[in-house]
Amino acid sequence: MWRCKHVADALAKHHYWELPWARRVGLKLHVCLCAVCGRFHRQVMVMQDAAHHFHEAEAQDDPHLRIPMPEETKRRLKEAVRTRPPAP
Amino acid sequence: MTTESALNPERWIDEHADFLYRYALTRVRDHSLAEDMVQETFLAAIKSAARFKEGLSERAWLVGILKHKVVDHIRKAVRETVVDQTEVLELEKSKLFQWSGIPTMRPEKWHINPRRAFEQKEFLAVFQQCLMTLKPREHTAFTLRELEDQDTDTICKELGITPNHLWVMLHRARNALKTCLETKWINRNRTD
Repeated sequence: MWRCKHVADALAKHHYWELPWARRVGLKLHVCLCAVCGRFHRQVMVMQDAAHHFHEAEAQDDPHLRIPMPEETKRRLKEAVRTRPPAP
Repeated sequence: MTTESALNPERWIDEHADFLYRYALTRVRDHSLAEDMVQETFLAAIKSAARFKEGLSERAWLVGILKHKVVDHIRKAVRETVVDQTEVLELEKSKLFQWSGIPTMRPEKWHINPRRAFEQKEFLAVFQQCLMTLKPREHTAFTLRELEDQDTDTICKELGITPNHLWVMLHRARNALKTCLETKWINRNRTD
């Protein structure tokens, strides 16, 4: 049986989608029905979802998120790596 | 790593520099620091090229090196700031917190449907912009917990704060993000 503190603890330690299926159902049920912590924890779960979507788009190098490195910096970097031989 | 790749780090810059730069910049929010971190990543990669395992993603390997540098930097930066625990101590004494483990029952309602918005890549670009506007400590807490996927015990130990303090920082970060997301997203759709 989930109590508010258990939900707070679980969401503080894990992302809710990482929880085992059965635990996730119990947690979601509590959050849907609880008048005390429901609204707060729904907010937590929404932000976990936002970060998750962002992370995935980031890993896929989504063009909407691109911030190109200045060309001058790239040129400087190439200089730096050119003068640094690989370790034996 | 193949000999050709090890001897051709300039290709890494063409293929991965933009990706690594955006990754670092989103987390440290300082252009020159992000540039330095990417440079250090490439130099560290050259140094340890022999340890790269054939068949693995080159980008994932470079991101792994950069991630360590970013997290190390954040830890150092946070340790150098003074922590004010007064507000957290007050929170710990509140009946609501003791009973339910949450600081407030009534966070503001969303004025948009966030889950529908997440499906749009443009919204994630707004999320990235909003992430850059958070206050330093809130940004740190949110980045380590939600983007770098560190557990709360590790974050608290590294930052020298209590779990309640982290909970408050995350709560503030979420509120600030929500306000920023709504404002920017609603304004953006108005101008479209």
